This record gives sequence, structure tokens and C-alpha cells, in this order.
Amino acid sequence: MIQLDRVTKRFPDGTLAVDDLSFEVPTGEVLALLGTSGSGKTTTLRMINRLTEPTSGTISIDGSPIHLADVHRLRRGIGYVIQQAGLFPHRRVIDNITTVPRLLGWDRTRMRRRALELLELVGLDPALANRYPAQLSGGQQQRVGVARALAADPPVLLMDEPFGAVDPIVRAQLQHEFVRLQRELRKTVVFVTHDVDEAIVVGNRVAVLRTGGVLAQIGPPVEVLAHPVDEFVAGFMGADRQVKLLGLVPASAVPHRPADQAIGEWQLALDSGGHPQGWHRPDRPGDALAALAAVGPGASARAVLEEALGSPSGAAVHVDGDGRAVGVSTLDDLRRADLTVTR
Amino acid sequence: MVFAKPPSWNGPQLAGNWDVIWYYTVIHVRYTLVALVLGMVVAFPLSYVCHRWPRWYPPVLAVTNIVYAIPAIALFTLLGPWLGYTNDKPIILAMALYTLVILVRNIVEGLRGVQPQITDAAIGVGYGPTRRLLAVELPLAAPGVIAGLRLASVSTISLISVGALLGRGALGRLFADGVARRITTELWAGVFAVVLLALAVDALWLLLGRVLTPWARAGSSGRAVRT
Repeated sequence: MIQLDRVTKRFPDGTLAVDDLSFEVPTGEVLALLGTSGSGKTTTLRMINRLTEPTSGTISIDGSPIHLADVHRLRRGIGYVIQQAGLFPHRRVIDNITTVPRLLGWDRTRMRRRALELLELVGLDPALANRYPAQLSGGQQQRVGVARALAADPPVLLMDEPFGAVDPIVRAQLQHEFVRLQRELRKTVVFVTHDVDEAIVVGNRVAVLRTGGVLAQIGPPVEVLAHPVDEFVAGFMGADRQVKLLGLVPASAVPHRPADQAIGEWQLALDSGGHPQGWHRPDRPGDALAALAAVGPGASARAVLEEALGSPSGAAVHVDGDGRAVGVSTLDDLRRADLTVTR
Repeated sequence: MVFAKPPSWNGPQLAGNWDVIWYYTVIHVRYTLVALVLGMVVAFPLSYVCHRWPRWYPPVLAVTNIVYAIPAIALFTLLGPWLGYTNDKPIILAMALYTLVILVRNIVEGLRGVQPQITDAAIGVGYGPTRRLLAVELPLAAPGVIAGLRLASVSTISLISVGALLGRGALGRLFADGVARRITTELWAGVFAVVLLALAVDALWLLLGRVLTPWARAGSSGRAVRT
């Protein structure tokens, strides 16, 4: 567990970067630190591995105050991932990954085995082991950055906008893989980002900081999206925060009506196996079926919203794992969705 | 190759005088090496200080510039009373001092060129200052340092010959002797030997640089692979 107790950082020039900040990150959880530039989120992160020392207050990891620890040993026990990966350009991928094990004095065989294991874990081809960082794409570099942070299996990870330098598609991919990895590894993570969508995907909890390093709100993503404490948090989470919220809720949280129930003038056409074929109007038997994209069991309530908006009937079709229609939901049903269930 | 007595040039032709050229070439290389090693031994700590405490950089640069501005002959003369006039030590030491202006600048700029996020990552993963310098900062500064050594070598090779004005200076003696004895071939042999030596050493550094910093060209090889 990481604990910050009334931590303040004032820089020599007088700037107050972090102001009386307290929070905890329970073991095995991810805290997304969200804020604009100047909100002190990076400073907060850097105080946890003592790249910056707080002016006052205490930071502890598993109950031990970090300022009493040997600073190099402390850092070797904390995985650190930064924007653009911060890889060492003069070292091959494999040697970048084994940076901390080398500092810890592991033997070569063990380091090599560990590096190959990590390449696989972060989804990289082991053939890349002997490349230099400059020979990798941005996304691959970020993966190596994560592998390097995990090399000595530290219980704590600090990530400073780790996926900030890659394009949106690769970024989404890296976020989802991070979530998958974290489910397996259960590290205690502080993840700094300025991207609300990223924060709500990766964080078990989200902490929103305002300018000057004051904690505005901390809580599970759903809570912060649904009940922002003030205008600032509401504004930061975005005008579309209700839609974002739906993205966190499973499609099954949206009430649905029987698949054969008429929605206004529209009726769902089903084949003999119960698979939806399209929408049609019984009063116009000659018309072609209007196409639909059904919402599967793994989708979010947001997919229900998008499908309902795009469909001529104003309703989305839920299907089960075999593609059979389970029911239909209208925008009215969406409004009654149970937002306390998260995916 | 060991000679009991320095061989001297015989006759107006090249034939039969190769041993003379070789003899002074060996000396020339030796002086260059000694000057460079001395220069590096002084330049490294000096550069480290300038890198670590940047306010020392301008005064150190100013001093090396001033030293470089002292004419070679004046410097030999200044060092003479201390090191003696009848040997080449003043010349070697003068050369070592001249290399500082190039080496200090190149090492400091090389260290400064290390991207801050890389230094940050190194500190963040638990490198102490010494290990960080040796394992991360110096290797990354290597292209700059090697460029400095290249320049310093060529400049030293050419400057050593100035010692000819004192009747010394390795290959420079060939021009001095050639002029004094009106042997044009000897004069030109000296000039060519110096130029060829400079070119050869330059090429050697280029090659060594490539071998020592294979990563420096990795980025431009365009072999990035996307998945």
C-alpha cells in the first residue's frame, strides 16, 4: 500500500506544486492521477520514488516511510515507466529490460530468461531482443518500457503518462493490455495521465487534482463521473461524462424488453434460430430490412446508446454469445440503466 | 623498430631513405598518443566538473581558449626552463594543452546532449551517480567524445611538426632538415608523411567510432518494425 500523508511540495522558486495532499493506494490497485499541466500530478509521482523530496508530509510504502529507506534500493524496488519510455538508446532491448536486475546483481542466465519471459508478457516478439530502441516503433518502445519496469518484479509501479507519445489506436491497445496485465500481476500502481478516458479505463480509482496540487476528488471512476463534487471536476471529466459513464457499465445493466415487442412502428425481424435480421415496418411489407449492429454480451451500455441512436427504431438489440436476440432497449430504457454495476 | 642513432637523410632521392621516414613517423605517432592520453586525463575530470557544476564551464572554456591562443613557439619556450630544451617533452606537453580546447568542449557537450528523460529514467530505476556516469551518460556522450578525439588527433599530428622550428618535432624535422640542406625530396616527404598520417588516424577514429557506437546509426537504418 502507498500512503501519502499531508504531503506538500514547494519548489525553491516559491511555486506550490502539491498542497497538503493525502491519499492511499491499496495493494494491488491502480490509482489514476488525473489533472491538467500544473496540477502537480507528475511531482506527486516523483515524490514516491524520491526523484523529488516533499517539503513536508510523509509518504509510506507498506507502512515504512520512504525517506528512511536507502534511496537507490527504494528505486530499484519500484517500477518506473515514463513518457516516450525513456529507454537507453545505446542498449539493446534485452539489456534495457534487464537494467534493474543488473543493478541488483542477478546472473546472466537468470537475466536473459527473465527478459525473454517479459517480452512475451508485454506482447513483443522475442526476435526484437537484440534491436536497439531506435529500431522499434513508438508502441513497441512503450512495451519495452513496461517490461523494464516489471523486470525485477517490484510490488509498486509508477507510470508517468506512459502511453502519451503514441497514436490513439496503439494507445487504446496498450491501455487494454495494461488492464489485462494488471489483472494478472496485481501491482500497486500510480498512473499519471491528463486523459480522462485513459484514467477511467486503467484506474480502480481516479484522483482529480486541480491547479496547485490540491486534491479535488478521489473515488472509483463511476462515482467521479456520476457525482463530480464541483464544477471543476464536472468540467474536467467532460460534458460527455454521462456517455463516458455508460462506457464503464455493461450492456446487461440496461433494462430490455422482449425482442418481439414492437418499438413504435418498427418490429425486429428474427430468423427461425432467433438471430436478428433487421428492422422492418409491418405496415410497409415491401420495404427492405433496415440493417442493425447487435450489442453482444461483452459490450458496454455505451454501445447500446450508440446503436439505439443509429437505429431507425430508436432501439438497440441485445444478443447472447451465439448471436440470438435476447431483447431490445430504447433510449428510455438506457435512462433507467443501473449505473452502479461496472464492467 | 629500434635505432641506435637517429638515421639521417642521404642524397637527393627517396630510395634508401624510407627508414628515416619510418623512424620519425613512429616518433610522431608516439608523441600524438602521449599528448592525447595526457589531454584526456586532464579533460575528463575537468569536463565532469563543468557538467556537474555548470558555472565552471565558461571559465574553464576561457582558460583552454587562452592556452590555445598562445603561439606554439611561445609555449615551447615557456615550458623549456621546466622540461629542458634538448628533448621533445615541451612539445608533447604543449600539444596536450592544446587538445583541451577541443576535448573539454566535446565531452561537456556530449554529456549535455544526453536527453533529460534518459537521465531521469536512469535515476528513477536506481542508478547512483558514478554508475550512471559510467553506464549511461558516458556511453551516450561517446559520439561527441570520439568526434573530439578525431579532431584533436589530426590537429596534434599537424601541430607537432611546428617543433621543426626548434629543430625538433618528429616528422617536422624532415622539413627543417630538408630546408636547411636544400633537399626538396626530404621536405616533401615530411609534408606528405604528416598529411597521410593525419588522414590515416582520422579514418581509424571514424572506424573505431562506428564499432564503439553501433546504436548511433541504428535509428537511421530505417528498420523500424510495426506490429
